[in-house]
Amino acid sequence: MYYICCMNIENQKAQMRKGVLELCILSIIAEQDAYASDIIEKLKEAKLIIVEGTLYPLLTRLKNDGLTTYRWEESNSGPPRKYFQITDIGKAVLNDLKPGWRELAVAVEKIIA
Amino acid sequence: MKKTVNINVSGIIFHIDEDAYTKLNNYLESLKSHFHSTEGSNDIIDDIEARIAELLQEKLGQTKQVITIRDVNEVIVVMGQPSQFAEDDTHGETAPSHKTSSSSKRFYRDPDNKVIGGVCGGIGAYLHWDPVIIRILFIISLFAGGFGALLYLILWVVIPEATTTTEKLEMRGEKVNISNIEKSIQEEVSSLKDQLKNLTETTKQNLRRSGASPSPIEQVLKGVMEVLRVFGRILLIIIGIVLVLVGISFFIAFMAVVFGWGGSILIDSDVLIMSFPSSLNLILGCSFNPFFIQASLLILFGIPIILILYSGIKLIFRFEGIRYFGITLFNIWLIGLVIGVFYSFKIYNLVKADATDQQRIEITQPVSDTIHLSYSDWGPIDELSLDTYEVFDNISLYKDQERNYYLIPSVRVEPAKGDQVEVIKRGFARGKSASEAKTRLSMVRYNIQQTGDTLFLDHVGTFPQDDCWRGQKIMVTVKVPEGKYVALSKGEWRIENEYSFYTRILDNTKLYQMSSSGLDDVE
Repeated sequence: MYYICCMNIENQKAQMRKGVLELCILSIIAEQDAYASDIIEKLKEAKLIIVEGTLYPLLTRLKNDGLTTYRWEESNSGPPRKYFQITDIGKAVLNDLKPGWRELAVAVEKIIA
Repeated sequence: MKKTVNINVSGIIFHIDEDAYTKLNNYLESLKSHFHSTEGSNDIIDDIEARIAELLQEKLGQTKQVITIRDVNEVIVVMGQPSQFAEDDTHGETAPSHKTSSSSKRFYRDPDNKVIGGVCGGIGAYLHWDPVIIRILFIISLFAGGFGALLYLILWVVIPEATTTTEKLEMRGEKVNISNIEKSIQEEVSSLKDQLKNLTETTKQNLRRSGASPSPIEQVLKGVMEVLRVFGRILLIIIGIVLVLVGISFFIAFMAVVFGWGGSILIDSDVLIMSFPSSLNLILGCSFNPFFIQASLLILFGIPIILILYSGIKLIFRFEGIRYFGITLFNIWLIGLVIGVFYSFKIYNLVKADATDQQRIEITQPVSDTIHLSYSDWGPIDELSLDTYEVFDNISLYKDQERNYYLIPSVRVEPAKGDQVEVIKRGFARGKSASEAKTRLSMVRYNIQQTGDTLFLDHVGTFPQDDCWRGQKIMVTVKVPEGKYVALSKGEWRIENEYSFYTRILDNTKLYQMSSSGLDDVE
């Protein structure tokens, strides 16, 4: 019983994180051009992702949707890095999403407080 | 010493141990299969490979030049298993990778390889057999009472057709055969070994770090669970094999009964033996076609047998269940139940009323002290062919030119109350209504004739074949005054007295004396 209940809770937390993950990635890129490791670093700090593999499909999707674009940069150690930067569309979407999230956060906080 | 290979990950060259290479390769394969239907899957894989190259680069230093399996394991933990991408649960540990590849096998009808509905082609693809073999088996099963045709129709309805490429790949999946089962068990045993090894290592490390940490106990428990899991798996396979064997024997027994394989069944050791189809025909043939009853019996008993076989095979081969298989079978079973109940009422209606008939046969009283009882000739039946008849209860199925059924009478000899010999003939039959039962009874022919002191009883009663069996019976009672003698001729007689109550077959005429309790032997 213990396991069943707690796995469900973890699963729900994961679902919540998933919803805001794209918004967070977009914000990170908007602040400063970043490559995967930078983004991972920040998301891990915020405990928003657990395994790095989660990030790559999201990055690809953002790029394919035209919200971000990237350029290659040589690296001193390791393979060349893909630096992501936000596009104008991305900025517009972000400006839409941010107040939306704040409203949601305030509303949820009001209810559960 | 270990063999290493060179690999190129995202443009960087690594020396890597062979086992580590295999592990990394499997991991990348599982990622590819996870993302293969996602948009931009190549980009995703490239990005992940670049990141892996970065992480591996960090593992290497001045003194360390080769990537080991431990490094690969750590990278995989950081990147995560495909199962974690989907759910992204917070369990940091890696799931065993062999789970992902083997579970995607499904049962489909094969549209590229079909004669009628692609069912045989699909089974062939699933089992990796030549569909021709399956088709031949199906054709053979058509001769065995049409079971195959019914099964084919059910499968045609139940199983979806493989239309997309993914479905076609899933249809073939991994080969299901004994060596693969063996392989999967071996894989599990070896992964168990690995885990135990890891367990001891981590336990040692933990002990070194802090003796009071609870995690070693957890680890030991986990190891025990692993061992139990593998034993459980082996046990399930054994149970599966037993289920399949049980299912097959039920199937054979069931087919033997319903379709009369092997000719006849033994109902009782002294009452013979009649095959199920002919008894069904005898009882129902004149009222309606027994096909639906056979079909409903087939469904009512066949579906549980199919389910036993199915779950056995599922336990052995561990394939993903066929969609809606159980619920579909259950629905068909319910249909069978409805048909069965409907016909039960119908049959009950056919036999709910009965009629009896009692008749005193006028005879001239015997002149001597001895009355002779004898069976008249068998008539159209000659004794030589007697053992080829099918007998059901007291009916003998024999078709003469007039196509009659033969009814074996039960004859009793009892003490009479007065000093007169009396002969009483009783008849019994069932039917939809009392009048129908009465009509049926009147169609039964049975004669008793007298010549001097001898009574000739018909050896068999008859009823016409276009009538059917509704429990028709003939009982003859001969009452003989006490002290008189009874001579029983060759044949089968029931001898009743104080001491015995049995049927005896006489080879020659035998004399008995009537006492107050019945027939006594005469020395």
